[in-house]
Amino acid sequence: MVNEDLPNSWECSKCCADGKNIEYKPRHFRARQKSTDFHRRGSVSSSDASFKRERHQFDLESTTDMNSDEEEQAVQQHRRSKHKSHRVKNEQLSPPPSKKTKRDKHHQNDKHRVKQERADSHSPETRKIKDPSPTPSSSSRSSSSSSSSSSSSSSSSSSSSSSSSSSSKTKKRRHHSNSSSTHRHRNKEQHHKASSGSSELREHKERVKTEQDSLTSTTSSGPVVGPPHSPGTEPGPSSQPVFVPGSATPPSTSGATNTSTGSPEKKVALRAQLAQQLVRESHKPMKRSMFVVRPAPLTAAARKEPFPPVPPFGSQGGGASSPGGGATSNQSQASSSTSDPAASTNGTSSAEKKKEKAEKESTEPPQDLLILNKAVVLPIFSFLSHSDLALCAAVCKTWAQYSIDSALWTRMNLTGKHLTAHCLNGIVRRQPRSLILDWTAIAKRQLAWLVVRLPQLKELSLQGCSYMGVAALRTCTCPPLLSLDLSFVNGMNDASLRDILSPPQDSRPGLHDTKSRLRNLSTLKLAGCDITDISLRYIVQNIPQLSHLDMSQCTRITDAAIAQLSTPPAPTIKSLIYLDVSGCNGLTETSLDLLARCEHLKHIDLRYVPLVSAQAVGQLRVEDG
Amino acid sequence: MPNIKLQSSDGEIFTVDFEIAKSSVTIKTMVEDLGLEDEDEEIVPLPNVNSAILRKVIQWATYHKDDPPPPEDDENKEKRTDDISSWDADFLKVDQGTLFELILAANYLDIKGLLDVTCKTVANMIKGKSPEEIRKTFNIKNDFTQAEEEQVRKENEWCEEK
Repeated sequence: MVNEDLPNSWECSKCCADGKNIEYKPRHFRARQKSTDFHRRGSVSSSDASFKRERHQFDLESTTDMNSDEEEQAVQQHRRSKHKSHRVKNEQLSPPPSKKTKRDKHHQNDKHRVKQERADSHSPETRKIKDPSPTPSSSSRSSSSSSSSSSSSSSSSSSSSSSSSSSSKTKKRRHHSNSSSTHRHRNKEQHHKASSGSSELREHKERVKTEQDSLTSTTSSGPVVGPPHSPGTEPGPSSQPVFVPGSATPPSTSGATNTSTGSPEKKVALRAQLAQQLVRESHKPMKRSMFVVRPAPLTAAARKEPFPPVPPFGSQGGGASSPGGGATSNQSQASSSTSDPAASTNGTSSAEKKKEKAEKESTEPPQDLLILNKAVVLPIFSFLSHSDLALCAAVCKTWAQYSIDSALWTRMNLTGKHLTAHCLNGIVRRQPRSLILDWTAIAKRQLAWLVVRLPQLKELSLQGCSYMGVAALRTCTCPPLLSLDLSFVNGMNDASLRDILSPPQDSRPGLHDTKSRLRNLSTLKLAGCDITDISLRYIVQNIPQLSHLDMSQCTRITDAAIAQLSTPPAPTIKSLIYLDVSGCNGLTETSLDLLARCEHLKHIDLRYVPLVSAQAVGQLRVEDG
Repeated sequence: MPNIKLQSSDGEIFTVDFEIAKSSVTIKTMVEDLGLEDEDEEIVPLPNVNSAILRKVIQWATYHKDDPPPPEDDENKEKRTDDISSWDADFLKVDQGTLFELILAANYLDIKGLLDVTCKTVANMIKGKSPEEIRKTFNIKNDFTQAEEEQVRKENEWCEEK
């Protein structure tokens, strides 16, 4: 798929479109990414306005954080390796001018300088008062150190450069503590201990002294160096373990350090050190945490400033607390800040709900206003005609609501009306049990729309409509009708009746009808339809509970149709109660004999059946008893 | 004939013949279900009815205690409202508030005859009036905007004409 020989082959547009090269990147590309990883991250983290403060923080950290950490030493060594001119400049900035000359003399001897600084640190308060410029020596030094590596814009790059400059000395140290370095690159957690052990091994007294000194000096200078927005908090000496981050350390960086296995040990150690530095100073979690972070409980302070612009390393909590802890606190803060707007929206939504509720209560008719009480109005409305109800609906909103109560509209008669959209809407809103749409010429779409929305419908009358509309009844959403009137339907013949009485073609999920949706019918009226004897077979087969059948004016009906109704497998033998065959010219007296089999038949309409004599009817009555 | 004591919402106690009280299906069911027929001194609390209305209800029930049961409603037939007896018409010559409270009480006590006659009286007040006249009659505030009223009128146009 991807040709490595071609430049930028991973950007093959087709593969991009197919999503095939998401994982894939050519080797050289990967390698480069790895090497520049830290730099890019650092530059990203120290951008914009927070840059300056970050640099301060970094310096503060590097000075405060450790008494025996590598990084600390690296910075110290870097400082020591600075040129004399730098120091002169440095000391010009730094206070007591009386000691200035003395210091200049001993610019090569670290011991002396350390001593002096100690002396300074012994009386930090007095010095503070004396000094016209509150800038402490350490901060000025650190700032100068960063300025010395000012070519690099970001703090991380400055740190890397400083450590690289101190690499010569680190090499030296390796001789003394080889084992510690291996430890270091194997296990991060043990790194600190090992390095501290190695520092113990060190023979150079001055170095130890400088460490102590740096500790004291940073302690004294702490309050002044701290970020401007938190002058009160004092970062204490970092007695805490340095490698707290553990879980907070993004796996990406650890992976990056681990992957550079091919390089020599010291390089690995250096990289590990750099990575830790970066991890500590960066305030963004480099990768999304792999575990669920429970949002911290919202304190009043967090609510006041839900979005701290810069993660306050020095200001928050125990000042010189481990940066890992800072990172976690930042993370938790971020999560809390993200949860904060959610909570606020929740609050507003609940408030809105309350408001709505109040509005509802206000719109609800008060109990003392009885004319708007449902228990009063509905019984009154039950005595009103539908046209009066339509007038009442225009009185007020409450009445409009009551006037369409389905209890008042169990039966709706729309005979001969022109069915508008308003009309259909009104039918659906009133949910009648019985709907009469005679001679309305309802369209198929209209009936289909209605039928889906009237699940309570029991009786439907479609007299005089066209079959085109009535065909909409063959759907799985047709309500279980008890009564259907298809009298005088235009185009109703054997074929169309079979279609209507056959199982629906569509289906709902989990509901596959294998029988007709009209199988519950007890009343079927087919007066004046163009049906023949065949239709009776469909009726007998599909409607098992038919009790009322109207076939008046169906002139093509013969005795064979009656035979269908009264031959043993037919359920109508038992169920049929009412039969209207008036006007059916084709029937003879044979039908009467057949109908005698129907056990429960109570009513037979034989008017206008010329071939059946009154005598035969009288005989049937006698037989029935 | 045993009596029954009915306590109105404001604490007044009415001693009523049980046969009269039985016109209320609610009271009848309550007494039968709780087996209170034999106990004379049992008090039935009616927290939804105040003494003035309860007195009217008892007055109506006493007059109509020998009435035959009303026929079952035919849902398909429009109910008549012009068959109010003259005594009922006189009995219901009260202010609207009392009339509505009687409807409420009859509804709660499930006295079909009283509910019908009171509702018919009010229905007669509504019939044949325009919405504006109805509002005036019952002192109902029109909370429709012009557009909403027009909308309602349009929506109900189809069922107005007969």
